[in-house]
Amino acid sequence: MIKGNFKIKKIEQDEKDLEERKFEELIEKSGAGSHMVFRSKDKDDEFFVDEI
Amino acid sequence: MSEDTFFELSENTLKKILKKKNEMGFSKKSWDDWFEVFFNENKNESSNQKIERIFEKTTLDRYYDEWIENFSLNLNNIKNGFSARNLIPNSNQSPSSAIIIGRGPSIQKHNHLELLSKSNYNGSIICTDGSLVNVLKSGITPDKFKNFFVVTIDTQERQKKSYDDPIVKKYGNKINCILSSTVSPHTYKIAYESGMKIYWIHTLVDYDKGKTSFNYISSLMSKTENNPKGLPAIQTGGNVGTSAWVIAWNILKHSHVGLIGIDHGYYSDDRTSDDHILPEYENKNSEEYKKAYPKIYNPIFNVTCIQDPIFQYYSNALKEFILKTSKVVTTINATEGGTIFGNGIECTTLKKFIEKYNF
Repeated sequence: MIKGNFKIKKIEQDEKDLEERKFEELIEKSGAGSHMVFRSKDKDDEFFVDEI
Repeated sequence: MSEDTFFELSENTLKKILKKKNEMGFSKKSWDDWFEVFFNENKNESSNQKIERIFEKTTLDRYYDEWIENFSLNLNNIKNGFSARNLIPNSNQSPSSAIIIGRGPSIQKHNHLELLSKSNYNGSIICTDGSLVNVLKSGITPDKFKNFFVVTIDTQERQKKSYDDPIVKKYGNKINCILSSTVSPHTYKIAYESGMKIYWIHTLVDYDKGKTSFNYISSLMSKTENNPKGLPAIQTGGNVGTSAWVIAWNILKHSHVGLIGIDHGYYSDDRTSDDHILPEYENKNSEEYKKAYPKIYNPIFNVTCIQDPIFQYYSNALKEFILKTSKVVTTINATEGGTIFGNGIECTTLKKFIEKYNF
């Protein structure tokens, strides 16, 4: 087994990170419809699939 | 937290960790830098990607169970009913056009329904469910416009209100109604009882997840001896307007598709007509608020629209889709406002659309 240690240092919260988090909270609170944009790796299936 | 934290690892585990760190390009960088990226995959995503990620999760969390419940209650009617595949023309059509009618504020602002009702437009009329009653009351009816469709994809029971009007019953038996297999059975019932011919579709939600996906399982369950291929499935773009656009060129095979009432934004703070929430927020001048609720200036029609995260989500997708499919379908935005404009998107007035694309 290997033993070691991490030295932990305090980092002041980045203002940019805080802004991004508040932005995410605003999105989450904005409501939602019952469907989402569908994304697929197969671009042929992106808009229409004749038979699943 | 203490300044030092001790740990024990097997050599094998350490080798795997070091390998992963190197593979991710952090061999010469600090552990802190690597952990920051490793545990925060979303760090470098754009605002649009962030919006899409959050709405995908929110929608699944809130509606997945309801999709399953509605689908199971609709299954008998699906198996004994008609697939939207029946609407696909048998042969290659010559160029033809359709108009998608949404319920955005530009419709009223520009009297689009009155203009269309008085026109000699020959193409298909495809209503989003929310616009149906106003469309019929304005004189745009299947008596005059023979190829008349309405679409519902939304799961919520309140969608039944779109069909709950005497004028819908009056014209119902001449209207083709396209429903997602996950609509509320109450919506199906009221549409069916108005005399509409119902055509079922699946809406693509998680098909990319393979055999354990809701799409795969519900599709398998929909197949019958009479309908061995089951139902076709469409991209919705998250909303019924984009769904109607997809149906126009993938199922009805129109080569030219016009949009009216597809603003994907507001001209005021009034949210009474839908369930988009305008939250109370103490700092509406903050960067995060301006990003979530941007004001979009449309230079073609000299109007400014306010978007919310939901409309950003919808409009980002629709603009991307229009550009991507420009060689397959010609999309003309005749909304005369709103946020669907930009590179590769033809914008014009409804009057000009009818003059140029009346076929």
